[in-house]
Amino acid sequence: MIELKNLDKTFRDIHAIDHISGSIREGMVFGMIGSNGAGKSTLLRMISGIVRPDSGEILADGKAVYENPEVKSQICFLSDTPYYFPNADIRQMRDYYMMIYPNFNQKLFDSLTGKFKLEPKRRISSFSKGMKKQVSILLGLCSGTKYLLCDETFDGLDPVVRQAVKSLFASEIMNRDFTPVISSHNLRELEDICDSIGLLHQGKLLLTQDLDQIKCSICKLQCVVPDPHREQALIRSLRILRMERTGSLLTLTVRGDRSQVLELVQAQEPLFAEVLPLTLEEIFISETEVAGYDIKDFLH
Amino acid sequence: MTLKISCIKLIREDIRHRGWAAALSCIVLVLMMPVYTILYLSTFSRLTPGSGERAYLISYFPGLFNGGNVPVLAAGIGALAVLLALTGFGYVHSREKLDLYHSLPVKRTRLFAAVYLSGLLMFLVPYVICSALIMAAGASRGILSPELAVSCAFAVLGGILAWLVIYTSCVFAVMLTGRTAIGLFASLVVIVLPFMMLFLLSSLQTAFFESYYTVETPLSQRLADYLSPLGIFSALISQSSSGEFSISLAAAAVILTAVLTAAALLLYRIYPSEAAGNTVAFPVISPVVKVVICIPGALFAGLMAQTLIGITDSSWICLMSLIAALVICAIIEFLYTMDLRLLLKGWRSSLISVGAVLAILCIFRFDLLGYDTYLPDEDRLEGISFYPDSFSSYFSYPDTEFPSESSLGYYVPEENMDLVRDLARSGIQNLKEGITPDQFYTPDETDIPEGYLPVIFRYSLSGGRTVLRQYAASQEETAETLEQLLENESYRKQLFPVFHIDRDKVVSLQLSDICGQSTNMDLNKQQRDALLDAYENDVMKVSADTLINGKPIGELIVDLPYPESMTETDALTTDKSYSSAGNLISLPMLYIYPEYADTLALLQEYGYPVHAEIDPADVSSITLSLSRTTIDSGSYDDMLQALSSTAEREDYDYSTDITVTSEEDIILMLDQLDGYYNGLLDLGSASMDYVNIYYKDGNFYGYSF
Repeated sequence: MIELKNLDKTFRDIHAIDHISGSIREGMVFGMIGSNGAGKSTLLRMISGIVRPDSGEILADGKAVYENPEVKSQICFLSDTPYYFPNADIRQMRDYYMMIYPNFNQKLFDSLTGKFKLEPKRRISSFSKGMKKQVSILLGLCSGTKYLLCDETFDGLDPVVRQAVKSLFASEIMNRDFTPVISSHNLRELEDICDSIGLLHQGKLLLTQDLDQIKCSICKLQCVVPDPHREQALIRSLRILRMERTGSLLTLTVRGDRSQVLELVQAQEPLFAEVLPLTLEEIFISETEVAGYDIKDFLH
Repeated sequence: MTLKISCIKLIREDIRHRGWAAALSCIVLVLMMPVYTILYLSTFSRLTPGSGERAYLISYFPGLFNGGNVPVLAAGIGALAVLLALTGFGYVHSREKLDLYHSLPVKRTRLFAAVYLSGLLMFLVPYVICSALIMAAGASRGILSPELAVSCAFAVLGGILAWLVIYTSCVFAVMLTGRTAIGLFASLVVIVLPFMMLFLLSSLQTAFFESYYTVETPLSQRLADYLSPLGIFSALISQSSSGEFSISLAAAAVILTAVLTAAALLLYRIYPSEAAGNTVAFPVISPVVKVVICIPGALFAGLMAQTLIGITDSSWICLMSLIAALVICAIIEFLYTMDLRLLLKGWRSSLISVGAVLAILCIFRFDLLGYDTYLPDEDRLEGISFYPDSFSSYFSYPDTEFPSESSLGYYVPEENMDLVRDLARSGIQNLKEGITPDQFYTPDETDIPEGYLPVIFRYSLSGGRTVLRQYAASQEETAETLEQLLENESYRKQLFPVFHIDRDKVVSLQLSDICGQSTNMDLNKQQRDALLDAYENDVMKVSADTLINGKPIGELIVDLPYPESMTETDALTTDKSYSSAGNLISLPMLYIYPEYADTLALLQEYGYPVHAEIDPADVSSITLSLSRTTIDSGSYDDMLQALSSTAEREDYDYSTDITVTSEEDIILMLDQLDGYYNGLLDLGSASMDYVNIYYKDGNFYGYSF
């Protein structure tokens, strides 16, 4: 398990990480979502031991990460812009990773590069952006580390490859002790693959929970309550994140279990009531809006 | 064991990834070392034992190993150090590369060691191989003796140490920066700035202080050879290639390398990965770096401008330095921010820099520390000597080491210290009135103050410190001081070179007189000793007034063997033809005055009479050359009009030559001769006017007119 204890990091006058605490449990896919400049990359680079926190502590399996090769040998970080040695081909990069990570699965790597149709002898510099990302993912996946930190790695992959990678992650989780941490702006993609997510905004961790739990704890309510007093009573009884009215139709994003919300709305004798699950994107927008990141600010 | 293997693997991988740099290192070294050597050796056709060519090649050979005699190789060694440092550690300037390297399960210390060592190996391996090839080339031409092999080994060691100093300086600079271009600039700063700073003090003293005088390299400049990377690099290359290898210099190189490596490692361990792309890796040091670069840089720029433009007024140095300070601050601020609108962002550090430059300039320009007016307190003064500039053309001492006691004047007796101190005080007063020693060394003779001469004062202070100053002193006051000092026998003995001669070493004596002819006197040792005894007696007996105001009529020249130290050096450089040429050193200027009765009598007895005057009958012709200034001034109009019609005149652009052959014209001209020898306090003539006297025996000599 990766534990983040009151992490804080400031770059000159930018407070990139603002006293974050949380944990990433083993054996599940952790998604890290957040607005631009929220601190996702910084947090991942801190977890992988690249950036040193100004204060706080990062523990992987109970041990500090920074400058600890023993722990870092269980963490592989895939940058959003992966670096390959000049003129290197896939085999040279593979050999380098084999030297660094003793559990590197060469057989799997060679097999996967064949399946992904990545020519081993071709210079990586001549690959397309997406192919470079594929190489990066395969190197990370086959490095045999317990934790794989992917910084927007899925961006730029075509849908087929993306699906294939998801399957590979699932397979690895099944076969060994493997915990991928994925940061992305593509929330729909994360929704499919992640078991748990952390939502970052302006250096703060707004929430970190299992995706199912989040989806259960937040929902969208659409209802028509003819009596204005009852409608007000309903509004008071709910923990509303977002509210919109279209004529008499009230659309609310509320915290709480769907069945509980339905019970509360039924108690106010609505003409029509429906409780819907939220997509991850809707959750993101709602949560960040609460934190002051409102799409309306961009429109006005 | 695991650590060791991993480190080796990392080194191997790093060399593999920087294969082009390794290849470039090999190519550069092969071309500049064995290939150049082979081509150079092929220019020597005969290298027979004892030949001058062979001796020259042997002395030249060690310089082929480290660029001591091949400046391109020395530059190549320096450039390779910069290149390998920047390519090795340049990854800290790239976020992508840092993401890879710093996420690896390798401690930063080990990563640093691996990259550092791989860079070292990329230079060391080809360098040692190339050195071995040069040795083989030397051996094939039969010049490689065991002694030369040792010299070559020292040259190789010097080359390696010199490379290491530059390499570690660059690594240190890379760790301070976040961009490779800035890293290169910082490398130059780390290498050059300490050298510049150490040179500045004496340069500023020379530029601003009228009384500044030094006979040897100032301490700060000598320290540059031990404290600055550029100084160490340069000194190591030149020393080790000339057969000398100073342990202290090698130790300085090793210590500096160790200190810079430790500092670089320390910085690397705390190097913030987010610094990649920034100008300075540690923002907290930005203002300090600016101040440290700006102050010496601005002062140096001011001095450079003075030298390049050729201005003499020190006020211009101040103006140029202040402008340079502003420009340097602006450039550094721009490098920090890359935004012209933010040039004033670091205004505090800019203000400190410019203020410090201004303060330093004020200290020097207005002599706030009283350098030029310094006169030690009597209670601190343990000894004082003075050396009028005229002594250099009057005395010649047998000591060959420089600076010697004699080149600064001998300490005066304690009871006469006040005399010299008063003369120094008078010099200070002259300086305040605008009469400075510099005026004597200007090309325009009209600037030379009449009745004065430059005098060097040396103060020996309690505590062992020695202080030198130079002032323009009144000739009259100097003469008075000297007259009193010459009354003291021990001082007179110290001052006159004849008392410093080791009689047993005297090989021969020569005599020269007003006719300019130098005659080797055929004397046995007894005669030589007798002559020198007589000369010593005369020197001690003659009045101070004669010595100061009289005109010598001749001089004795003493031939001595080269001192041991010099012959040893010659032997080391194997220039045997030099030693076979007699290897004598002539000690001239043992002047003879008409009052030296004993000496003159003995010379007469030995058959070498001294001519006190030039006999017109011995002269066939005289050519007088007068400058345009003299002609225009009309100083010699009377004499020129008195010449007979046989006098030939030839006018040139800047001078006029008058040649006379008739006896009456010759007599007329000889009467105007200023004499052949300078007096004790004569500075010599700065006049462009001279005569060439052609004697009937075929000789001719030039005289000032």
